Amino acid sequence: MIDFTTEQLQRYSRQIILKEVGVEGQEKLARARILIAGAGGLGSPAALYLAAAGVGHLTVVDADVVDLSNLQRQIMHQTDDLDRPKVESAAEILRAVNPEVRIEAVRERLCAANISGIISGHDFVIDGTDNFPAKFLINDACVLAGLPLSHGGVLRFGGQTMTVLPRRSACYRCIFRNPPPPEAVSSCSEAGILGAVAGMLGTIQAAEAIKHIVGSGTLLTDTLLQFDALSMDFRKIPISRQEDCPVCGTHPVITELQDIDWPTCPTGCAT
Amino acid sequence: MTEELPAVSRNLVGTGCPMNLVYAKVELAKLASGQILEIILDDGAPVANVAQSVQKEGHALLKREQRTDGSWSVLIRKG
Repeated sequence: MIDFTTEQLQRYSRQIILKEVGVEGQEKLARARILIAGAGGLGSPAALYLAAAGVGHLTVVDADVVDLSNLQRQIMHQTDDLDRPKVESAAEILRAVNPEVRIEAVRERLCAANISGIISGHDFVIDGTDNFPAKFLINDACVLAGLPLSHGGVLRFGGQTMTVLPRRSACYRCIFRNPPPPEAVSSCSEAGILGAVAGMLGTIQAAEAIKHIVGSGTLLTDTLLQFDALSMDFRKIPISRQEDCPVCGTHPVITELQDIDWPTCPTGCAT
Repeated sequence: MTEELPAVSRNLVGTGCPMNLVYAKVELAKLASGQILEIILDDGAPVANVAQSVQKEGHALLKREQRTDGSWSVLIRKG
């Protein structure tokens, strides 16, 4: 059992007094290793809340540098951070929020060749990436590695998320077989996003990660949560594992990871 | 009737809400189910809140006894 210091007990007191977290849950959080893919609009709130909650180890993966257009929603980065690698400014603010958390900054773009090595050794993965190939790659890699994952996506005023416990609940590919053709996806000029909407979704993902680590509540497994912040309607869509899922089905065709060619937005309409 | 002897006693006089509950939970976490914790709490909100909260978490409140200095001795059996 961890002997928490007086300062630690005080720092985490408001969640330790929750029956569903408690001292035992705080210990589980302190021992947990969570990976956040993307230090953007979803990864920022998720990482900030996970650091504040006392998750022992956070790995943040992102290859980009901070752009002025990111600051409207990517709240780990500040005006002074322009042109800095996002993982650097992320590591700095996360350490400032909670010096007890070990932060690993990985300045790489996840791809078939590196993802298995990068996600290995973690307890949970938060997908905060901004493109379909990355989302499918993260899903496939997590399913193959048996790693729980929170999928998330936002656009304009809407968001959707689901939590995947590989081979126990529906995965992203059970529902969405392949990335949509590029022409079916909104062009960058149409792909606005309200910062607060990214914040809503990223915090849901952080809450799912914490619930999974402490073992409390009901996860968004076999459930796609969608919301529209304009009407503030939330709906849960029941989903289920598909026998013919190419990655977690009975006869999987995806047994090793492959990169998906897909044109990326040149102006960087990142989440 | 088993004798209600605490395995551990912790004096939380002067510790306000909710830190008194945090410390009570820390002590309870170290005990095995069925063992008894004694906590000493201030009169008023502390004794009312902590006693109620530990019961909601599945522990049994065995005894509450006011001491001569006005503080309370509370015996809790870990659930």
